[in-house]
Amino acid sequence: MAYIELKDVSYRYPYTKEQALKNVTYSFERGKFYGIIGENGGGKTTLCNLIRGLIPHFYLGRLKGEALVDGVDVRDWDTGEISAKIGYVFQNPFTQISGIKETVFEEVAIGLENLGVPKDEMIERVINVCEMLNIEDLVKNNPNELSRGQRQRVAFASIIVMDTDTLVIDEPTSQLDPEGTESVFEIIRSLKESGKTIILVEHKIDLIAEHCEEILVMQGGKIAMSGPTKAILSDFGTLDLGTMIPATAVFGHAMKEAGKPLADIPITLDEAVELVERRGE
Amino acid sequence: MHVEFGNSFKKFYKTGNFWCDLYPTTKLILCFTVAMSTIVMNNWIYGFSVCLFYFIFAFFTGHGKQFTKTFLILFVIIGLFLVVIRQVGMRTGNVTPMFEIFGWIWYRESFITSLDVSSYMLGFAGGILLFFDTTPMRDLMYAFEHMGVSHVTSFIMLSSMQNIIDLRKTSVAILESQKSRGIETDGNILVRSKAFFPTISPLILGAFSSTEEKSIAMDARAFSVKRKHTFLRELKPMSQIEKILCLLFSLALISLTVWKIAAALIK
Ligand SMILES: Nc1ncnc2c1ncn2[C@@H]1O[C@H](COP(=O)(O)OP(=O)(O)OP(=O)(O)O)[C@@H](O)[C@H]1O
Ligand SMILES: [Mg+2]
Repeated sequence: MAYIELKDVSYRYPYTKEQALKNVTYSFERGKFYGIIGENGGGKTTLCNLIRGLIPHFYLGRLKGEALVDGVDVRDWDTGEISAKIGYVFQNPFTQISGIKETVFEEVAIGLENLGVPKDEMIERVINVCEMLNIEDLVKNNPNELSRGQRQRVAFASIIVMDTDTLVIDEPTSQLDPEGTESVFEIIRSLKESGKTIILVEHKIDLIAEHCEEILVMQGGKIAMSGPTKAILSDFGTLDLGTMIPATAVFGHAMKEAGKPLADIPITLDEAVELVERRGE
Repeated sequence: MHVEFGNSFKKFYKTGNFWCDLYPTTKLILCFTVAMSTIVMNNWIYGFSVCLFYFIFAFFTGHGKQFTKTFLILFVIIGLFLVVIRQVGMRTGNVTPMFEIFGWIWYRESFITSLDVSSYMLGFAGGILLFFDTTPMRDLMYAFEHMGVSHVTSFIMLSSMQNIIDLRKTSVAILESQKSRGIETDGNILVRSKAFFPTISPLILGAFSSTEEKSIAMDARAFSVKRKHTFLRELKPMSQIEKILCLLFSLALISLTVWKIAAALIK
C-alpha cells in the first residue's frame, strides 16, 4: 500500500483566487527518496504543507480530494502526532529559530523536550546531530545571533534530531555554500539509507540527479511530470516546464545532435565520464 | 568542547551566586513577603530601611547596576511626586508648620504621611523589581511549568519578551535605513512623527507574519504532541531550607498583618 496517497487533490489558500494545487494525484512509497522540482510558485511548498498536514490544520482555505498519510486522511490526523511522524524543514530558515533559548544546544533540543526524551539520551542525540552538521563550535552561541547559513544548519539539525520516519525538506541549502550544500546532501542520503522516507524540494539539479530516486516536476499547481530520476532528467521536454536539467544531460543531447550520440543520456558527472570512456573504446 | 558543554546540562543549572541559585518560587515568596511587609508597616523609617537593604542586596547578587538604574528613577518619580502632592492636596490634620517657600507653608504631618506612602510604594515596587532583576524569565517559566502551567503559555510569554527585544532592534534598523534614504528621523516631535509611521507599519506587518510562521515552525518541533515533557536545562528543586525559609517569611508577614489589624481595632 502507498504510504502517502494523494487522490485528485486541489487546494486554494484563503483569500486567493487561483488554486495552488490542481487535481494532484500521486502515491509516495515508504523508504524512497523523492525530489520535487519546478518553477517558482509552482506549488512545491504547498505540496509539502499538505503532506505534513499544515494544510488543512494551519492553512485553512479550500481542500478538495483525498490526502492519506499512512492510511489516514490528513484532515483526521492529530497535529501533534503527525509532527512526531513527519519532520518538516521549512524553506525559510529565519522563522525556524524559536527565539526562546539562549544557546544553540538548547535550541536543537526543543523537539526532544517536547517528545519527552529522557535527558541523557537527549544530550547524546543533540551532540551527535551537531557533529553531523558541523555546528559543534556553535553550541554555546545565541541562536538569535547566527548568520544565515548557520541558522539554516541549526534549523535542519533541530528537525533531524527528532528522528522521525519521514522527512519533508524544503530547500535546505538555499543559504549554504557549495561545501555546506554537499554535506547536507550527504546527511540526507544517509538518512535515506537508514530507511527514512525523504521528500525534498531543491533547485540544485545536479544534486537532485545524484541522490533522488523519483522526481516530481511541479508547474502551475500541477504535477507536470513524474517518474524515475533518470527518465525525467534526461528528457529535454523537462526544460519546457520551467526547470533545468543537468549540464551533463544537455551535453548528451548536444552529442546526439552532432551525430555522435553516447549510448545513453548521462545525468551525473560519473555517468557522463563512464559513457564517454565507453565510447572511446 | 561541545560534548563537555552538552554534558554540563546533566547537572542542575547554577550561576554560583547564593541568591540567584535559589529556586524561582523561593525568590518570589521572599521578595513578595518583604515587599508586602512595607505596605503593612506603612512606616517610612521601616520602608526606607528596606529600600536601602534592597540596594545593598542587589549588589550582593551581582545585579546592583541594573537594579539601581530602574530603582533610582522610581525613587525620584514616586518619592518627589508624592511629597509635593501631599503638601498641595491634603490640608486637614496639618498643625505643625515646618518651613515656608514663597508663602507656601509645608506641614510636618503631610510630610510624614507622604514619606510613609512613598516608602511603601517604593518598598513594594523595589521588592518586585529585585525579584525580576535576579530571576530570568526562563527560570520563572520553568517553575511555572513545573506547577502545571502549559508549555504553550510559557512559550508565548518567553516569545513575547523576545519579540519586544527584537522589535526594538528592528525599529532601530528601520530608522537607520530610512535615515539613509534621506527621511529625517532626528529633530523635533513633528519631524520625528513623520518618520514614525512609515517605521511602524512594516514593523507591525512583520510581527504578524512572523508570529504565524513561528507558530508553524514550533509545531514542527512537536509542540502540540500530548506527552509529558522533559527538560534539558534543569534548576535545583527547592531544598528543605528554602521551604522553611519561605514558611518563616510567610508566617512573619501574617503575624505582622494580624498584629497591625489588632492594634488598629484596639485603638
Ligand atoms: N500562505 C499563502 N497564502 C496565499 N497564497 C500562497 C501562500 N503560500 C503560497 N501561496 C501561493 O500559492 C502558489 C504556490 O506557491 P508555493 O509556495 O507552493 O510555490 P513554490 O513552488 O514553493 O515556489 P518557490 O520555488 O518560490 O518556493 C503561489 O501562487 C503562491 O503565491
Ligand atoms: Mg517553496
